[in-house]
Amino acid sequence: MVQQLDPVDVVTVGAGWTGGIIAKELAQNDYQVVSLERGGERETENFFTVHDELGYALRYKLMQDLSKETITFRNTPEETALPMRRYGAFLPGTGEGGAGVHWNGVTWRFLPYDFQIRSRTIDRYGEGKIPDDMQLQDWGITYEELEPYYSTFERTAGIAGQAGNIQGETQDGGNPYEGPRADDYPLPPMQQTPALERFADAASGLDYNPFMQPSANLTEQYTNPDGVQQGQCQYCGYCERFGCEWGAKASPITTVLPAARETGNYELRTHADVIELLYEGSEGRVNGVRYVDRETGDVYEQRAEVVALTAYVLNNVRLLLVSDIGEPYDPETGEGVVGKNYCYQNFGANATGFFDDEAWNLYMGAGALGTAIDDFNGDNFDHSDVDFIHGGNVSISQTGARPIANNPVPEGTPAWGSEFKRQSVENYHSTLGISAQGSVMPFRTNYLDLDPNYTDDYGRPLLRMTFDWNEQDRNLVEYIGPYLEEIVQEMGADTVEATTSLEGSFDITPYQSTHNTGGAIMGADPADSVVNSYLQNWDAENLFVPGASAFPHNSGYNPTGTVGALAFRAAEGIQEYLNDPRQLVSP
Amino acid sequence: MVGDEPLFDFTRDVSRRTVMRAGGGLAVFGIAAPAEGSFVPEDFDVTPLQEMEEVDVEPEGLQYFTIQQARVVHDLTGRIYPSDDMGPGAPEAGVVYFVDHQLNSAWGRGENWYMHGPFAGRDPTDPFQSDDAAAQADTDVPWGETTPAQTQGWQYPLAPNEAYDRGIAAIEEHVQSAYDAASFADLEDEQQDEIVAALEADEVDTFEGTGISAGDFFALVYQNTLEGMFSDPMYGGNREMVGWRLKGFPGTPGALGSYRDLIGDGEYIELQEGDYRELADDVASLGIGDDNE
Repeated sequence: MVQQLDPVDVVTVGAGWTGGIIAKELAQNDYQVVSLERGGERETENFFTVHDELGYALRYKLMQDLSKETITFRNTPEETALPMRRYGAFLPGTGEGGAGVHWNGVTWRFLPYDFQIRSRTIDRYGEGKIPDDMQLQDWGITYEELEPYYSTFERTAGIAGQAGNIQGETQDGGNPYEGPRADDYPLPPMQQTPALERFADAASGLDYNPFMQPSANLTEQYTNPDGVQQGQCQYCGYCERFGCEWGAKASPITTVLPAARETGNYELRTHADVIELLYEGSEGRVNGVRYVDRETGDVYEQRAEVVALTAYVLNNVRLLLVSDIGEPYDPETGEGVVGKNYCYQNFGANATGFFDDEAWNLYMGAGALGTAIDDFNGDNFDHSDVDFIHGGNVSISQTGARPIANNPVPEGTPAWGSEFKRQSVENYHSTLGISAQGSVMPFRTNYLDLDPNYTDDYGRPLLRMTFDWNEQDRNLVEYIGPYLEEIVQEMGADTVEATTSLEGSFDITPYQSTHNTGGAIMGADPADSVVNSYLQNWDAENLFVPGASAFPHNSGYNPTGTVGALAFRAAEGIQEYLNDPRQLVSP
Repeated sequence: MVGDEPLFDFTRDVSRRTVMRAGGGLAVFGIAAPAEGSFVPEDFDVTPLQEMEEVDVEPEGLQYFTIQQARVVHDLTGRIYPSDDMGPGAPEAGVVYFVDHQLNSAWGRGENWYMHGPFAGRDPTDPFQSDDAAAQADTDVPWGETTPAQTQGWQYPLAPNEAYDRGIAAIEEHVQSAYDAASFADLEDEQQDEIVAALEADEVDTFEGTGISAGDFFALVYQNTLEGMFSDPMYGGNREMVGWRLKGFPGTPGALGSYRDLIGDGEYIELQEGDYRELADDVASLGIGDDNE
């Protein structure tokens, strides 16, 4: 029997960055907010024993339990999708704080170009620059409109960085290509290390513009505008896939969730697995959500004035599809919107240097400790003579070389035996790598829908991912790769190995990136988007769907900064909606 | 407001002993917890790397493998990460015990993997091939003739422990037919290397019909070998931190330990791969151990 619960003002599906931001903003304005989180509770004290590479990095302690729910995957619509039975390419989190607990903390703003990518590409290069099957769209919002929300997210999290452009004034040592910022970062950049300096010097020598990348690993103790205090990063080298025992990596559990609780208007229910949104198509509304208490098996309906769908990208899209909200995307006709423009991240271009007589303390590090150049990102260089658009941020990272996963050997070394052992030990402290974080554009046959064959442990269809690389991706790697090779040579490596081509199809087995994006994209027109610029759903006006699911394409940066900014924007939209219920944007 | 009383006083040098008692997280010292209230590097008695001995493979220490399976895995991991002139390898690190314990864990039983059918290459309507035939009989995909793409990853209806059972049996069968010996564990190093190379190349015929390919079994053992060499000793491998000492990895800075004052320094800190004493002293110089009274 389904038990009906007393209605609340806002219910969020999940308590990660987006759910946490919305919960905090609304609870601070005296709305009653409930978050339904399918995983358990988490707090900083849980991570006193976190320096365990096997348990966290390789047995995925903080990740979603695939035995209960996974996705199916295929490269093309002609193939039969099969389940992702074990982890590989990407790692959706679970539990309080979501993926915001196990992230590295690299916190970019996207470029002004990103938000108007279609119109700017046409303006500069003409319509012919966009291939027929590349479904390039503007975002329905500009960088200038989003700037205040970026700023709020950075102050809430305590982002450490070196500004490159404050109100149009270029700043020394920052990224000269970034959009104008109203203010500096709240905290100074992370420490330079000898390995990072080596990259910075080489990049400068080649006339690029290196800078310390923005980081949510806090460089000082910091009290944010909500009065929440966080610790200082100790460079221990356990960020990605781990939680921080210092409370020094900004996450929902160290920032927005404590602030939401402080109001007395917020309740987090853990082990609460939302299985459906209660959609009333005729009224253009969702009445609330249905969820299962994972510990008791009891089913509940939580009604709410506003539902914020704040799960991970993949689950946002799946919940829309299983709840029959919006028209599913059809790759044959190009009609429909839900599941459209699934994108990813392309790390195909990279270069590694082996140094015979030098060594660095590479086991020291921090998830977002890195030096970057943006000279090959966005439209920061002329694309007239190349067969792709956009590009990627290029960086060296010193995240902490943990010993199971780091066994660098030069090409031609056997994979096992004495020679492998010798090379991997000798090169452990003496290998530096750089990579381009390639953007990924939306294509007609890269999309998300419901799988016809496989179900989760409630019997609901799994989400099906259809994705492969395109010429765009291969051309991007072939263009940027040789520049990376040149940089590593300039760094003085004795042996340089570069990957300058993207071979084969996208492979779901090796880890690549948890930057899955799209499927519930934002835009100015209900015909080609799922949500408006407030992340408000076009079909159900009291449903908001923030998250990287809203990205119409994926940029050449880590997504969380933009996810955070859009969540603050959505929180503002929800308040406006509660004051005066309506579609906030006319199509 | 929130935060008037921070969870920790971040300016105070938190007592690491307290943390160790609370969570046991000081992994670098995980093999030999110090006596209450004392940390003196000299108290830690570890064997110099070059004197490390191969572990005994005994039934008493095993949780999953039979003794015969354990002997095979001991030698298999020993060829992947061998003992040699450079120093000890999997045989000294006790990787076989690591693998054994892992196969007896939730991971080994595949408890966190998605293991529902249909499985590509198996007919879900065939009661001899599928456990949940009734549930899957209505699909219109010819599952029996469907071959998974390499890009789709693990599609076997096997948890890691089942994969080991079948892989070991196939190796033994191969040894018995091709080498005139009873077990992989009875072969010379060079013969074992031939077989490991054949596994890696996916060229061992006896894997046919086992439900897993030789190449995928090799990949599983290979991954587990590196895990057993370099994971925290509490998991049963990396005995006396042999993998970490070999590699010059200083354990970890421990719970609430810090590299903040060192990371910006230009100096590479030479961690001697020799005896533990030097490592412990270096660890102390990193600010890790010296305030443990």
